[in-house]
Amino acid sequence: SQDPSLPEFKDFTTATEWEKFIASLEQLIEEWRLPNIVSTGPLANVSTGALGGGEWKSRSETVSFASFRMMVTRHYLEGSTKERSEEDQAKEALEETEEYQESLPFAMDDLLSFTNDFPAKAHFLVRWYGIRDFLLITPDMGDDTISTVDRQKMLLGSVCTALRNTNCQLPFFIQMHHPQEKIACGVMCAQGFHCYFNMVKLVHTPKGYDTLNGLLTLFKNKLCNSSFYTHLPVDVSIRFTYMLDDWSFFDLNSIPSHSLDVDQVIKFGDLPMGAGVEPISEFRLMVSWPHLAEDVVNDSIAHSDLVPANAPEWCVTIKYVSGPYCYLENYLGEFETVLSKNESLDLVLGSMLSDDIDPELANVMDRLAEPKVRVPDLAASIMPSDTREKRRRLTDDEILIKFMNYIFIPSIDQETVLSSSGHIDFGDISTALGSQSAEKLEEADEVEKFKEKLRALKTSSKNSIVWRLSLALIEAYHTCGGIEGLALLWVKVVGELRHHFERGYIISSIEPGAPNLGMCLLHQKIQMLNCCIETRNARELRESRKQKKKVPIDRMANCHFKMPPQSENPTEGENSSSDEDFFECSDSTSTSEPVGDDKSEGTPIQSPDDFKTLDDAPLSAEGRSKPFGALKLLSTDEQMWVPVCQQPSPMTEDMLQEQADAILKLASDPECSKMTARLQSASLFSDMESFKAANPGCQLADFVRWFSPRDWTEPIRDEKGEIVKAGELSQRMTIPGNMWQDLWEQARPAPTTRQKRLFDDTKEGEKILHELITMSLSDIANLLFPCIIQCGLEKICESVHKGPRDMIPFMEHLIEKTKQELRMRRPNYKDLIRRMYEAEIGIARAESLRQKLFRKEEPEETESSLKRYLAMKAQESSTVSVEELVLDLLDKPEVEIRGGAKSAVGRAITKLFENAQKAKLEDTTLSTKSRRLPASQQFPTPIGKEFILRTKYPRPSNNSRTGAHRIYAVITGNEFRLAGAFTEDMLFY
Amino acid sequence: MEEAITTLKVLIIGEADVGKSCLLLRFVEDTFDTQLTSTIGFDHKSKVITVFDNKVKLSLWDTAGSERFRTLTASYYRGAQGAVLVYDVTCRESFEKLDSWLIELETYATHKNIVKMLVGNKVDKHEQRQVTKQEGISYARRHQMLFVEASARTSENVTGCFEELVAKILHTPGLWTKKNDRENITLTDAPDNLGDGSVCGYC
Repeated sequence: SQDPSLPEFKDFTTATEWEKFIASLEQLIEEWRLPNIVSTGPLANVSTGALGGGEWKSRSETVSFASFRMMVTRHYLEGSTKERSEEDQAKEALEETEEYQESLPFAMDDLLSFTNDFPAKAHFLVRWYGIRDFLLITPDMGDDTISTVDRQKMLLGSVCTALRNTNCQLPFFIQMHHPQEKIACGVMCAQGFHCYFNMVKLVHTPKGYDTLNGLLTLFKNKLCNSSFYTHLPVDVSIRFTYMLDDWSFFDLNSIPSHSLDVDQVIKFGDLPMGAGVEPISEFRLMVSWPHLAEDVVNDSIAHSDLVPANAPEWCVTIKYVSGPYCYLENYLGEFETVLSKNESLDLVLGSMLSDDIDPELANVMDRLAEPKVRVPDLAASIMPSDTREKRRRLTDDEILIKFMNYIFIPSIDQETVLSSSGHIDFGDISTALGSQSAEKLEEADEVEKFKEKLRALKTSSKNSIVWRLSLALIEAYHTCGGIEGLALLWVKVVGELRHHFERGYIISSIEPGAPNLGMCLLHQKIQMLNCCIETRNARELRESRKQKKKVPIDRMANCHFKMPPQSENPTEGENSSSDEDFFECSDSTSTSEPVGDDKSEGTPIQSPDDFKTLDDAPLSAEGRSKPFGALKLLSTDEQMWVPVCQQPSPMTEDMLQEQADAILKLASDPECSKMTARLQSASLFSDMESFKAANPGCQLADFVRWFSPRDWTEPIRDEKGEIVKAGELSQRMTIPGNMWQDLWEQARPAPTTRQKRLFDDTKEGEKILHELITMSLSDIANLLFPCIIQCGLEKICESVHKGPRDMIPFMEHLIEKTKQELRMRRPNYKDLIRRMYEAEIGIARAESLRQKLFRKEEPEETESSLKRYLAMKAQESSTVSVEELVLDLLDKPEVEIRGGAKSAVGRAITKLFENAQKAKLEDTTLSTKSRRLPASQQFPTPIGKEFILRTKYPRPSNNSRTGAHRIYAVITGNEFRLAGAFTEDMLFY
Repeated sequence: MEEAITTLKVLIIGEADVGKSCLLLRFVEDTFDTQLTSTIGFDHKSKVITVFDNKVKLSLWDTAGSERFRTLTASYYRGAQGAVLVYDVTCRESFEKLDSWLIELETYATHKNIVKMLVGNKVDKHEQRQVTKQEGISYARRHQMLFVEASARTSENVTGCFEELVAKILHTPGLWTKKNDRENITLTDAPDNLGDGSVCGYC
């Protein structure tokens, strides 16, 4: 009737919201390529415990029903399903007739599979239905939920239509009520079956239904309306969960507290570590009876065979206290807050003054105002002053002295101070492990390796003054009044440093030499101070020798007296004996030359004034170091001499940075390019002056031949030695007005003694001391942190073997991270502390677990020696397996215990529960002490019971094909939940 | 303009008068100046270049080649990710001194895996050549360096040399970090790939 020439239109203009919704679901299913999805085989083949341990993935998209937005998510176990290839499709089409009847859809197989009951960690739907791939629809509208029955039916209908239209075999669920309720209903359509998923959740358990017998009756009733249908074989899996969460029966006094108590001894260099609270909140034991036939066990209200000792499978899991208080974290974290305190020392100490007026402190303030005046040194602070302290403060001299002694006086037994923490009494195990001393040695080696790695950090060497300073200051912060204690000790320390500087005492316990840029900034600064002190000592020594006869001895002696041997170190300044020889000679009447000279030029020295008169006149030379090869001066043909030069000044990294910044700033402007050269020419200029002094009558070309030989072309001679072409300076050196020529013209002949000092020790020393005393608290904390972090890491590394299995790689990574971080200008200490906290928690958890599981068996005296020996042997092997368990528990969400109750580990766990039960009973009846409890009382009542019942049965009528049916029941204290999946044959009903 | 993903510090070292400053000038400003004086101490230039579609800021430190400046310059090696070692193909001595520069680098550079590029400069002076290309290549191979011959005068290979160096640095793990790049490895908190977080069936 229709004209075939007319195009056929399909009209969707009047499609309802419902139809649109179904269409969008179908589109989604097609888009995700789900209609052709098949399993890759039985779950047991994918991997054991696949549902709990495999890799789950998900994919989501939003759909809307009218204005109601929802999120569709596909959860699937990676690798458990695949898209059917076209070959398979073709093949299946052929075999369809036979296959159709034979195999159940894979999701239905999963319902019946008992290989994946009770996964350790899985989505609740996976746990309840044992499925591997499913879709879930959840409202995506804030608090809006699907809670009415008509909404539910509407959605379920839509889903069902969509599934059937696309021929998608995946179960599709609808999230009901609030997500926390974990209630969902769903449907699966495959091969003419419809499987409906439904749930019941009650607050109270109906009487009798918390037992296997009760549930079996319920299941059978649902299937065939007759609980007397005894030929229906039901497969059962059962799991009971027992929990310990009250640890009060443990004597907690074995965990020491690092209290900030006033009377506690101040422990330097030993940072506190470990958990301050019980880090484990729950210890759970799950015992299960997998795959039982229904009639094997009896579990009714009257009697139950289901006790842990009989269970073939044991599993343990633990829950942790989140963010437990840990000493090290607290110790470091508290100090980390100082990093953000920008108050100046004056302000802090000022507020302290207003607190309690203290003449001594007022003095400090005065001195702060004029840094030239020295803050009282150690000797002065030792002097007793009037008592005024009520609280513990650094103003208490005795404590202050303790701190100052620790910082400034290196003690011999410093190395041994850091001993093992011994937080938890672990003695019995270590003796049990005695036979495994090789292992111990290995551990010690590992710890050594870590310490070696820590040494490479940009901090300071262990037990150097910087190290001790950092630890003393953080200790002062914690035990002696927070920032006030910190500030006060800092002031005292800087005062002491100034004392060293002014008196010319080298600061000990730090490597000599120029600032080592591989160390932390404070280390460099102290080294720099030492450089200043050394340079000045050397200078003063020279001066005093120069005026040996005139100068009163006492000043010199003073300078000489207390100088430690390091001061002789030749690395710094105008150095070593040859210098001193030279300088000494220069003020005697004749210039006797240094080693290797031919003494031909011993003419009397002229006064400096004479130099400027005649530049080219042959003058007496000064400041010669050694002849420069066989080179002769161009104009005078005299031997060319290498002059004694000033060493460039030592610099700390912040000084270098400052200089680099200055160059950066100038170099960006081409006009200033000359300026940067000028800035850096001080050393060149000094060398030119020295060269002129050592080589009277020289010219720039001579200087260049020594200083930059590549800028000089040697004269070309013919065979007879006649100069064919004169030697010449490179083109760039001869450009008129270039920097080298400028400088050369300005340079006067002057030996280093009469030059401006390149390294002004007084100025640099004062600069550092001034900087230290005017720092803000945050700056101080920044200087101290590197060593503190290293000390903390060291502390953790000592216990690295007590941690979880991946502790060692974790620490390796952390140290690497720290290494990087400390090289930054502003290291992220917060992040480092957080990572250290993680390590600390890991160790604390492991230790706590050991403490719980390694309870010594009470020796039974009646035992014979043989028995006792056997018991000892058993204990040894159990120690190893229990240690395994501890490490497993830290690694995995759930640990299976091989051998269940009868294994060594099983006994240890039984013991643990028994002790807890005893403690509980002791509260009421005191008679049960040290008696073994009967098996039925060893464990508390289970906090959770889970039952899975499943069977195959034809529904809805006897002529239908058999489908899979399953009920999952969980009974906890305040929840009774049934999750059922029942199949109906839609073809033969 | 998008921001540079990172700043790389590159040193230019080598004997005096091999053309370090000229190379740098050619690269940064694309000019050649015969009137350049011998560098005193240090000079600095910077340039943003694009490598692998990423903008990278180069902080280029030109050093003085003269012996007496060495103690001063060594301190600037800190934190450098790359080093350009320059020699003059017309001067054998500058090639033979490369060893001492490598030792210098090893001593003062903070990154142990610093990327090194060997550049034979002044290849435009064909008739004065004293070091063959093959020698340069085998030296670079012995010391695991990149190698190129270039001329600051004719600008041959100059830009390519720096780009290659940067590409290599970017490919070297651990040598540089992206701005705000922080990795996350946790010890105690196992990843939970079920958004729902239902770890346990009940409670």
